[in-house]
Amino acid sequence: MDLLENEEIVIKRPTAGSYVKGRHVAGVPEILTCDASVQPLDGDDLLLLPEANRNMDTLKWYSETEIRIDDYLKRASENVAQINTCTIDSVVDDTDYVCTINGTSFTYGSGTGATALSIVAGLYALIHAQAAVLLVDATDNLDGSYTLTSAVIGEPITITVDANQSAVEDTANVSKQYRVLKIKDWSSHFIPHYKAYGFLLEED
Amino acid sequence: MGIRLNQALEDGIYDWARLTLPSNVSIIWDKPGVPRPDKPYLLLNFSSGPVKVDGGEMAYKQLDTWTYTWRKSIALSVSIIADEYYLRYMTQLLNSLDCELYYLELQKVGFACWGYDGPWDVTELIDSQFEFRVNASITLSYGEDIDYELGEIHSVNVNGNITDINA
Repeated sequence: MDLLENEEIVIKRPTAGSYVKGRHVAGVPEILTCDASVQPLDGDDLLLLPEANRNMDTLKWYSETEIRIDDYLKRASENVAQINTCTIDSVVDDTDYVCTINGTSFTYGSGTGATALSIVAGLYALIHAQAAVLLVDATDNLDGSYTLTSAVIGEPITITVDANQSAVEDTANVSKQYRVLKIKDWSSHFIPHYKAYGFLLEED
Repeated sequence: MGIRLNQALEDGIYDWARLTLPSNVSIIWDKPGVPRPDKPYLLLNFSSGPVKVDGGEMAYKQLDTWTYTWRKSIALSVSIIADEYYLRYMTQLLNSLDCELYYLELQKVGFACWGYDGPWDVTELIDSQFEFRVNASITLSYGEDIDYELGEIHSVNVNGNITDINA
């Protein structure tokens, strides 16, 4: 194991969610970062997989962090986090400034004597408070603009702003994720070594 | 959200079941690959339909558009999965179709109950444990309006001269 080169991976683990009017609503996924050794499959590994998955782009993942079935695995080298910068173009008193991220709207009323800095500070505070739920990191650039970065590599974010602001995509999202199909626990001598087989997902 | 047919109709079914069953029985619409709640729970699904059951009615709506009102029927599959009292819960559910107070929840969204088949005990051995469950199929009907543009010809332009018209 130690001879195999480790690389950074992100695990996106679905959570139980809840039922609303009898319909299942997915929960906010748990995000873990760990190191893993990612290897191609050999012939014996292929035989362990369901037949339909043998000819898919399946990889083997060894990690000291537990990997579970139905986890989504992303290699840091193959995924890029989306980065957007939003700028206050015009400062207007007593106006609502709205930024909608992944369908959730954040509204800041500018009040009187507003400046671009005060509007950004207000929006930043609102967004930052929900960052963990939205899986988006917000940064106040202190120059009348704020930057929104996807907290999980390869997870796209959708951003819309009102007419007094503009949003520019600095870095596009690049996504390639594998879903865990089968796991084998190789833990021994109190050293946890997990082995998982993941297969490449089509775009969600 | 996993809406199958129509959110209002499906919410009406949920409200009827919620009013009928005790609060410890969860009610869910079937969806593969998502965690099930703890037992006991009611599993809802449409097992067949909707199908048009008669000729329906046709009414003028506006120029070039007619509204067809069709009567549709759909089979609602209801399954109770519970370690105990599963037949009792199912009986409560089916009895409620003859009790106005409960049935009203279905009528409010436009459903009429045409009867039901079952219940069938479909208890199964899963791995090494029995899962106790009972299933029934309730036939519901509802009205559906469909606007239909007929493509009528209202005017004709003649490109040229009309030289003769024979009466």
